[in-house]
Order: sequence, then C-alpha cells, then structure tokens
Amino acid sequence: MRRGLKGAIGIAACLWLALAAGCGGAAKDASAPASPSNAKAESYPGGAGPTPGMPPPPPSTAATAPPTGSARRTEAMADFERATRDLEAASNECGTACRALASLERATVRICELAEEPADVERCEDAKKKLRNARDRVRASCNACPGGPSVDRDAPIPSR
Amino acid sequence: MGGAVKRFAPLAPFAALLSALALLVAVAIGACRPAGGIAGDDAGTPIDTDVMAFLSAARALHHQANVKEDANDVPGAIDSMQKLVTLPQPRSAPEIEEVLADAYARLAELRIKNKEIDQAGKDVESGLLHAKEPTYFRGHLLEVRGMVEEERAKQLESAGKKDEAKAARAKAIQLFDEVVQIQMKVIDKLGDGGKK
Repeated sequence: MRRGLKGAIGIAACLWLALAAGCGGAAKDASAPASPSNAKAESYPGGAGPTPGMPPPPPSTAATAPPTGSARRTEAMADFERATRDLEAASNECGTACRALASLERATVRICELAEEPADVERCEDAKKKLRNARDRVRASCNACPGGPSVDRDAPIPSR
Repeated sequence: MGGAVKRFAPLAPFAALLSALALLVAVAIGACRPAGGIAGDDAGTPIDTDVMAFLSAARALHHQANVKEDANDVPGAIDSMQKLVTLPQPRSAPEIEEVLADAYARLAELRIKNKEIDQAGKDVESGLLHAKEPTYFRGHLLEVRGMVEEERAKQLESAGKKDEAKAARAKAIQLFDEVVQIQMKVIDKLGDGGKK
C-alpha cells in the first residue's frame, strides 16, 4: 500500500512537471509571430533577411529542435482555425453577393416599373444588362444562391 | 452497508490522492489558457464576449420581429426592431455597424408597410450613418429610401399633386439606379478578398 502511494505521488509530480513544461511551450507559441512571413524573417540569424541574389541559408539542424507534442498541437489548432476562417470568409462572401444580387434585381424591377420617360427606359435597359452580368459573376464564383435570386443569365426579371 | 465502507476504507488515501491529482490537472490546464477570454485565433486575439452578446440579442430581436410579422403584427415587429437599434453598444465594431445598418433598413421597410413614410425616411438616414462605404448594406438602405420615395409619389398622386408625385418618382428612379451601381460593385469584388 505504502509503495503504491509513493508511486502515485511520483506520477503526480511527473505529470505536474510535464504540464508545466507544455504550458510554457504553448505560451511561447502563442506569443510567436502569427504571419508566416514574419516567422521566416526571424529564422535568419541576427534577425536579418537573406542577402539579395543569395539563396537562403539551410536550416540549422543543431539549433532547430524537433517540435514538441504541445507545439505540434498548437500548430495544428492554428491551421484548423485558419482553414475555418477561410471557409467562413468564402461562404460569407457568397452570402453577401447573393443578397447584393437580390437587391440589384429588385432595384432593376422598380426602375423598369417606374420608367415613363425615354431616359428612364434607357436606364431600365442598362440595369437589366448589369443584372445579367452580375448573375454571370455570381454563378461563376458561388454556383448558386440557395433560396435567393436566380443566377441564370436568361432567367426572367424578376426571377422569383 | 457498514461492510462495504469497511471494504473500501483502505482505498481512501488513493481516492484522496486521485482527487488532488484531478484538481492539479485542472489548475494546470486553466493556467495554460491565455488570459482575457476565449482564445479567438492563432494570434491570440480573444473573442469579445460583449460583441457576441450584442449580436446574440440582435438575432433574438430579429426572430421576435419575424414571429410578429408572420402574425401580421407589424407594429409589434416595429417595436422589436426599435429595441434592436437602441440596444446599448459595447463598442464600435464593423459587425455591430452592419447589424445596425441592416436593422434600420428592416425598421424602415416595416414603417412603409405601416404607412409611416416620414419616419421610414428618418430611419433610413439613421441607418446610412452606419454604412458609409459602398457595401451591400448601404445599397440596401438606398433601396429602401427609393421605396420611401415611391410610396410618397403614390400618396402625392392620390392627393392630386401630380408635379410633386412626378418629382418623387424621379427621385426613386435615381435612388434605384444608385443601388444598381453599388450592388454591382459589391458583386465585382467577389473572389478578390475585398482588394478592389
């Protein structure tokens, strides 16, 4: 029993030390430069960039220790966050584009409904042309606007 | 019962040690977390909980307005949107500006439905203060301003004020034309990461 207790205390001490070390590593990682370009610049000795026309020096194997488990985890988490942000940005961009297309379509319909003067009829035709181009653009980048306006160039105006 | 207690009594020190160990691990994990809230991104930017709370309240009020509008309670929906635009703002942030611009546009549309044309025009003006750049939100607010002018033209026409009605219609067309230009710009920016 006493030996078991001693073993458990030993395990606890090791775990505490390991966590403390990992924690320090993670804190260091968190304060490291976020942009890869900055990280690259700092990898040159003395903090200076490479000499123009000269290849960058090979990475020093002695100075570069293999990343610890905690550093790898932090790196993987940062990659995941970046990928999530990119995905969100792309879907937000298409969401905004689809809403802009819907607004453009509604405005076109209203111009054409209100147009009585020849100048306004011309404005109506111009708006229709712009709407068709906008549909092409949104279709090329986003494929479709689910539940929104049509991205088919020749769809009726209004499309819904 | 007493037997069971006796049987597990020798394990008590282990149990105490395990509890202490669990506490130690929890404290260590807590210490590893950056201070200042939830870690937002790899640069260590914390997510602003005040902004999150504002956005959550705004979403709830939009839902409330949807329910009221679906029940044909337009004044009730106006009330919900009025609450949204008067929510205390934690600080100036782009996402808050967008939410307010969007809310004012919806509020103005509801006012048009409720035949409050002048107030709708004022709400659009308030919304435009939150959308000064040529964004979707500005375009949408100008679209609603065009609707205000269109509605005004109808009222003037009914009142026999033909010239004034014609002027209001011309103004509406001009505003809708501006909407087309702005939204076209928004769509043109697609895929360039907003560099244009």
